[in-house]
Amino acid sequence: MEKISQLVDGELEAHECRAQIRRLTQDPELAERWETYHLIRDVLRNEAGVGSEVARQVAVDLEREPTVIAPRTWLPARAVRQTLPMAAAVAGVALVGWLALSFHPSSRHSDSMAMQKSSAQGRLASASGSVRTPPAALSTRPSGRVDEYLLAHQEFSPTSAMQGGASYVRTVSTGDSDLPQ
Amino acid sequence: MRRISTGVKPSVLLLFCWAGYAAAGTLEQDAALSWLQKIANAARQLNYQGTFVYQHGDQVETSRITHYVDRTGEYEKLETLDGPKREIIRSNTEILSFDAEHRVVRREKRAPLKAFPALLPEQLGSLTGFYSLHKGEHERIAGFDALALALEPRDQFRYGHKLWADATTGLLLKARMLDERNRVVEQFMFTQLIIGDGVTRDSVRPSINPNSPEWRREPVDRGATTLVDTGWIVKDQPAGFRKVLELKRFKADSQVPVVHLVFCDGLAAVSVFIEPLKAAKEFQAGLAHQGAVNIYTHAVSDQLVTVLGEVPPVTVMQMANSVSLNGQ
Repeated sequence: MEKISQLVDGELEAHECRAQIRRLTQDPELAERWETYHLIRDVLRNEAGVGSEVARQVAVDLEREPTVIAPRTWLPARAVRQTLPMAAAVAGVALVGWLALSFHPSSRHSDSMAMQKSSAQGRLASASGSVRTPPAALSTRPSGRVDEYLLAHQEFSPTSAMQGGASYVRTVSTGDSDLPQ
Repeated sequence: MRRISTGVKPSVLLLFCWAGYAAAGTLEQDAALSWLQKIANAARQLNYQGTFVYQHGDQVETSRITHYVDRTGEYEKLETLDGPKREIIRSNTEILSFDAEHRVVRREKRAPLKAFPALLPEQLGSLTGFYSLHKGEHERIAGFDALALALEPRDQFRYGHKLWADATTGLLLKARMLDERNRVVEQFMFTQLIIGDGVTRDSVRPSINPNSPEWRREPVDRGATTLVDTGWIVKDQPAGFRKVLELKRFKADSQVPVVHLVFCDGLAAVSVFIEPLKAAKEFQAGLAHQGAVNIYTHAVSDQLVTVLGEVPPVTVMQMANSVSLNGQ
């Protein structure tokens, strides 16, 4: 399996590639895995259209459903890169100072972000061959189906259990998420 | 005679060294496992109140957590300190969540399944098959002497964890999840904390009256109801993830049950939710995340499958793509 993953990532030598591709053509299970890995890579890169069956299904779903806009990052990446090493350098007491520099989520849901996201989603949909209806902007992070599922999940997760109630922060957090509803 | 013995000695010595090394390795793993168990228990058994930082992606947020236990049970309060005020109160099996921005309060009832142990003893043993555990150095965190514990994954299907816990009580002071390139996916850290005295029953009461007429009450999740064999299976979960729970839960606004399967490798858990497509009001197919939790949603024939867990995208996607009813 790891070889297949390396093959997808282009990390194999030429002779190894040939051997793996031969395995792929002979083993349908591996071939399916090959397609899954490609799909995962494409989703991570925000591209669509490779996994033929899934892409078609996603296109159908997208067409059926209204768009939910959940803005992702609102802070310029540069500001964080400058802040974090500084905090690391003066760790400890100065952490409080770092917190003072922390970022207030209230300014997060700007229209421009919603527009950016919607155009990105428009591209994604057109890549998979569907026609989009204009998206309706959502001013807040949705507290719907997935939130309920997050809470239900955390009840049984050892990782959450060790964090105690602190893990609930995921369900109340407003930043850096791209939750579907 | 003499020559033979000198010939034998080094190999015997080597064997001893190896046995000693292996025993030390096992000892280290055992010590790390029991320390992990202590961390898991501490979060449930101690009274504490503190301010912590939650960092995910390039976001940093501060919140305050209060935990209180007495003979009547376990109480928890989480308040966000940045941005719009949100508060979650857990009193044993009841969870109240307040959203001050929208003046909405949700009340959820948890089934008595809450007694679910933090770490499953039968899975603790197999944990070392999927993570290598290393007890680390002492470090100072939020003024406490903390002991570090690293859990490095042995494959790409789980995140690495680094935990720093109070050396005396085992309370988790800092936790970090790392991806395969050692980048921080999510991090919690206390910046101020009191353990024990000073935390009272009053400190875990809501700061808002949940019955106030100014607040809109949303319908509730009635929680998990029945443990059943749902007929749904996941064919292709990564090694180590075993099904620990299978149940049906009911959402407030629906009579249609949602199937909930929980898989666990001893540390990370993955939940699979399955509901009829026509009962799901709105959804967006694809991959999403909330902090370290990756969420993958897609339709399987007439059902909507949502797989989520504090694991890399590959794990939720691979599992979601192998969900079927009775293996069809």
